[in-house]
Amino acid sequence: MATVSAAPSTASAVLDRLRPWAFPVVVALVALAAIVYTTDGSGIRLSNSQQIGQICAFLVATVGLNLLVGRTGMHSFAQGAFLAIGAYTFVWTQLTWDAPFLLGLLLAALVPALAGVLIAVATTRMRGPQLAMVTLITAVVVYKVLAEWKPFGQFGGYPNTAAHGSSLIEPPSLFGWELQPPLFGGTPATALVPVIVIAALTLLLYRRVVGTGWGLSLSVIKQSELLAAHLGVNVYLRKIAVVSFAAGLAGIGGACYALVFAHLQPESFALMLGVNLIVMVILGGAGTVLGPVVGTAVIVYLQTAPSVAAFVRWENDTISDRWYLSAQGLIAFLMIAVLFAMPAGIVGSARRLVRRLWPRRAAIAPWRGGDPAAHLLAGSAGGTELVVADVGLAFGGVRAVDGVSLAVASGSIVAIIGPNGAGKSSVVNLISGVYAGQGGSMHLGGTPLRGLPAYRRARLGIARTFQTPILSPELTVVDNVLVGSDQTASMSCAGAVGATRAARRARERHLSDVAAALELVGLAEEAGRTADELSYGQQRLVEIARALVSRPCLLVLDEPAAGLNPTEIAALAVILERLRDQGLSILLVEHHMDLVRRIADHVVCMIDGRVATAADADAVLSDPLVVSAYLGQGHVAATGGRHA
Amino acid sequence: MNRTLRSVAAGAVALTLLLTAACGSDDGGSGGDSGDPLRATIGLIGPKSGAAQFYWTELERGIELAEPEIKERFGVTFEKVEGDDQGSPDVASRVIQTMLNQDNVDAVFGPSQSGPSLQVAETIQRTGRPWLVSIAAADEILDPNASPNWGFRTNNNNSDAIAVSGSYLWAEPDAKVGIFYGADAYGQSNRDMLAAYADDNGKTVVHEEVIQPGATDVSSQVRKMKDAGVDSILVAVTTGADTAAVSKAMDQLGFAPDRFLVTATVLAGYTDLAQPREWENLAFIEPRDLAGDSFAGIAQRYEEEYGEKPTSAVAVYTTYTSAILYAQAVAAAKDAHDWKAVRQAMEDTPSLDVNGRVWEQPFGADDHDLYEDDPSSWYVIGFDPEGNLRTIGSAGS
Amino acid sequence: MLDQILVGAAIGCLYALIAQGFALTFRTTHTMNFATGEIGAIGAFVAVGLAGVGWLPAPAKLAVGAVIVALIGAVVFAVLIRPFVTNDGHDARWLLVTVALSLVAVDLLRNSQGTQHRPLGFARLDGVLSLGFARIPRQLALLAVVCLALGIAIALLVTRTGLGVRMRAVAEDAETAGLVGIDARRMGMLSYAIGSAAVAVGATLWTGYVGVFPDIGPLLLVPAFAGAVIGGLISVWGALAGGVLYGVAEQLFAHWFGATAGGVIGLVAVVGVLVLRPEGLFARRVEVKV
Repeated sequence: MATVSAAPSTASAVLDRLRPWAFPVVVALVALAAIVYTTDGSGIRLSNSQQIGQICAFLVATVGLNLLVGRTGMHSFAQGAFLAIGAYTFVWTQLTWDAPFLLGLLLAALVPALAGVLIAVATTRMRGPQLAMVTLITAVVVYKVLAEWKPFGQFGGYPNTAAHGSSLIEPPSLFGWELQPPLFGGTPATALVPVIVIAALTLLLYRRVVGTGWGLSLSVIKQSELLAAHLGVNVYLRKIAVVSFAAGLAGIGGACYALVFAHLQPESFALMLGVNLIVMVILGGAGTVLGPVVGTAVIVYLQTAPSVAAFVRWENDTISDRWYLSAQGLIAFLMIAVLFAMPAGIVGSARRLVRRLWPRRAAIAPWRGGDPAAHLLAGSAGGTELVVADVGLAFGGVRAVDGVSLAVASGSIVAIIGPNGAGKSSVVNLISGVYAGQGGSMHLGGTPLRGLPAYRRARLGIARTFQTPILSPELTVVDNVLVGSDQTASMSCAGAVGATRAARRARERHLSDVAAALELVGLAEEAGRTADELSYGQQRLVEIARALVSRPCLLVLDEPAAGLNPTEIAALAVILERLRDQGLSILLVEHHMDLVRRIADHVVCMIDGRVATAADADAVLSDPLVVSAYLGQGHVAATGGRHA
Repeated sequence: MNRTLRSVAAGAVALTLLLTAACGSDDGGSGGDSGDPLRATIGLIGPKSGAAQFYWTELERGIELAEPEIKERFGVTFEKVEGDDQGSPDVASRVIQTMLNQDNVDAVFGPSQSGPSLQVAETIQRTGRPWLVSIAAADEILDPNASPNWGFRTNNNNSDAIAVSGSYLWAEPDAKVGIFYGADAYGQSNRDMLAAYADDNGKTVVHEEVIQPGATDVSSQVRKMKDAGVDSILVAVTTGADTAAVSKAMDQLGFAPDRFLVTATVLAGYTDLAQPREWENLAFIEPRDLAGDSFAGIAQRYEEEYGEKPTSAVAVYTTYTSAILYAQAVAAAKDAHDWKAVRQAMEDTPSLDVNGRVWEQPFGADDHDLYEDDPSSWYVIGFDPEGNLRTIGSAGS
Repeated sequence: MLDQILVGAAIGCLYALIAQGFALTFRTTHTMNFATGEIGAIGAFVAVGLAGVGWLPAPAKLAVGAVIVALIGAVVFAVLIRPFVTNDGHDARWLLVTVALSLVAVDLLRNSQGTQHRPLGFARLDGVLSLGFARIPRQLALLAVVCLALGIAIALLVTRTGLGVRMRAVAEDAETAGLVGIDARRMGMLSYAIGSAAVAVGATLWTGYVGVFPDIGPLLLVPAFAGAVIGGLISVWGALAGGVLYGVAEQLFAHWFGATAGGVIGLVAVVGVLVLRPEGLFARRVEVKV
């Protein structure tokens, strides 16, 4: 996804310049072909035109749903309900005020987007089945309201002859053009022009958005909300933004639907629509750009495909005229089969196959600057001092951390050691903001940290890694590191939609940071691979690179050497020393004493939630108390009284 | 295990796609102009799959049953193009386009249900093709202002049924009338029309209660109806099961209004689900004498032909009627492919004979409904203790 | 109004039993069967098929139906759901598989059995039971008693027996459970079998009151799912209480505000509960471990 041209030869340089345009051009050509096909006005194409129109209308909604399901990992049955709200809103604007087309479209996006905000606020703490339940309820309730609310014509349809004098909306006009629905032979289906254009633009928009910091942050949320917060992302607001963005797209899809059919029946918007939209996304390939296109087209086509009807007849003739599957059952059956055979959907699986046959070339230009460590830490305030005083943390009745104080001087490495269960990780979690903790104070370079949520601390310059690396397995190493950049946290949804020149320059700067970070941790060769192809040790290094790209002033590492072999540990030691020499403050929790002895300027040993000893490495590691804590109770005799 | 499963599934996907592709080839929309002017290509559209399949079955069989008679009386034969709207309006819209423009059908029969019919009404109307609405009853399907009007309904529409029901319910001028209506299309339109009828006649509907389709227990609604002092009720729900839920609760609460009117949907399975004492007082009105020769004769032939009772004998009869109406018009116009002439011939039908029941000049330029709302031409029908239909009398008296 | 509460509680017992099936499979396998309503419909149609067998007493017919459906449930889990059991909360393929399964099942049932309601043919009680302070149709009383008894039995089985402990172990950590000889797959199949059998019995008795038809799924799924979510998804006692609570609330809201508003308000109330307590009313909050 991220390409910075290296310009080795002119031919490939031209190719590289053209490459970003390939996709938009193809989309534009397909859209153009669809427009030419559908608007010729001949009756014989009407059924297909209507199908194309419906596919495009649903596509706008499924692309939005793909942001939720494929990117953010939120499974919503409510997309069909948002589409319905958009469709009814659009028709309402046409019937009651004869509103200009674009205004109708705008309202059709805004009303569902606002409804989306409500749903998102309500579901912010929910996951999995709870979220599914709430979205399912939304779909049921919206359907009931549409079907039983008098102003919308109920089952008489909207509009209907009894209340509105016609069962079709007047064709809206756009720039003086009448937008005629694909219903009557001899009348060119001009309404399909905006519908197809909107669908194409939505697709391009999706492709752009997922590549931005904002889009990448969604993948991070899907992987781990905790990680997202530690990258400075306000998860709460971001979820609201993405749900409402997706709902707005569904609303536009609804307006397109109304353009295609010119009449709404509530039966079309029952819960089944929401289910079908999800099926389209998953069948095509959740999280891929083309997945919704393929999924939507396949399902809408199969619903009325002559071949499916013929297949049903074949079932009746050869198997039984009672025990057979009709179109909806066959589609569901196909869905089950696809889930088994192609877990990543049609497009996702095809892409995997292609990748296996033609492995991707490096996705990023290698680092060609000077010392990468110096580059990454240039401009930062030269390391910042962390002071922790007398903090505590209790789970239920157990005091996991009890009055711990420690300090990390700027440009120094402090290691926390101690036996399992001593509360080391809890201290790290208190510092990064996972837990609120009780009492005491924490300051980073004089700024109080108490009461700040994790994402605010991340924005202050605390970057950390986790005991078990948290990476997005389907993203490349480059993208996994890139999410560390401040764009992930700071870019807004609007910024992702309308990328400015400044944003593009910022992105290029961040890509060179990524290159530097990968060079520093020695993973430049692996840049184009996906995270799930890396060894455990490499995954740890990716996490460190990600932390560095945020240009932190305090780096917190939770057992960075766990699972590494001696060579890797030696390399890690060198990396950390280089960073310290550039002035970075580093706090690490570590069991590996050789590493601690080699790099730590200061060592804190914790036992049972308290600081037992704190001094330089040699002094701490020879302290009999520490030795006994590590080697077991037999050695405690002399000092056992101290931590009873 | 996982691996075998995956390959089996992959095989299934491939097989499905292959089979559908292979089956696709033998499906040519032949249709269109065959040499014989009396051979009509007709499009049948209904919910072949989905939750209301019997409406498709009755549509298809109603036509099939009429074919021998049509051939004999008028020399007209049908070539049928089938379309499955799956009960969904948008699918119906696409299917109808294929029928009208690719298969080039000479007439459309269906969709069976009101929702899909409403979605496609304007399309058929403006495209201009003889359209037989034989089952769907929503009034708005036929646009009264359309001229010429291409749609012809051979079922009664809802408002006629309600007008007659109204006169039955308010037989005592000071009757206190209440309605239980389903939360679906059918219930809603019945409720609206009863309210409109009451308005027009200076009456009021004293109490209304909604019945959710499939509700387990409706005693709350029945109790409120009873407490409102209603003595004449209409139950307008879509299935016999929902009617049974109401009558069960009425029985349990000892609510026995003077007039207990339901709609013809009661025919779908009600007596299987209720007790004889619940239907002692129950009646519904019908523009067809269900026990009479014309109607019962066709139901009889249905049973002989298909070895089972029709789920909706009314739908079979009205579809049968529509086939006769159309074929007679084709014979009169002498060319099935001259759609305007066929439409005009239907509008000008001098006399329509359906298995012995005769309508004289049933249609006019602004009347495309076969049945009228004159109560004296309607019947009041109930069930005997064995659950068989019995005609109680005319709705006019 | 007492009548309404009683009737609501009776229907709620049915929801509760199905909700328990959800909770049981969810705590054991982190999945649940969205085709549950269709499983119930299959049970009811099996029962209809057995109705003609005169020498078989009604409880035995129910039992035969339950056993058949239990087998179906176990097979569904082993073949269709088990491959998608992961620890990843975002992996919802199991959900889609079961939704798709419900569509396949309902399509088959509609095509083969017709869409019309038909009588169950046995286990039908006529009349009304008067409890002094309130009255309830006998058949609903039977439904409530059977569902409640089964529900309590399942809850006791899960919370008080060694089997329940083993299921719990699988739920907490399938790998470690495997080390001490507990077969996660078998536990999953067992929980699905129990859940499906319970649904079959409940749904069959219920269709004895309202008639047997293929499309009962949505009528049962949403309330039962709501009950399970209110109860906290992993607590079998919570699901029992949640289902009853939902049944009573639905009936009461319908009584106060009319049937349409009743259904909507009931569902909105569920959303309200979830907003205030995402972990459900009856489950303890779980601390996040990093």
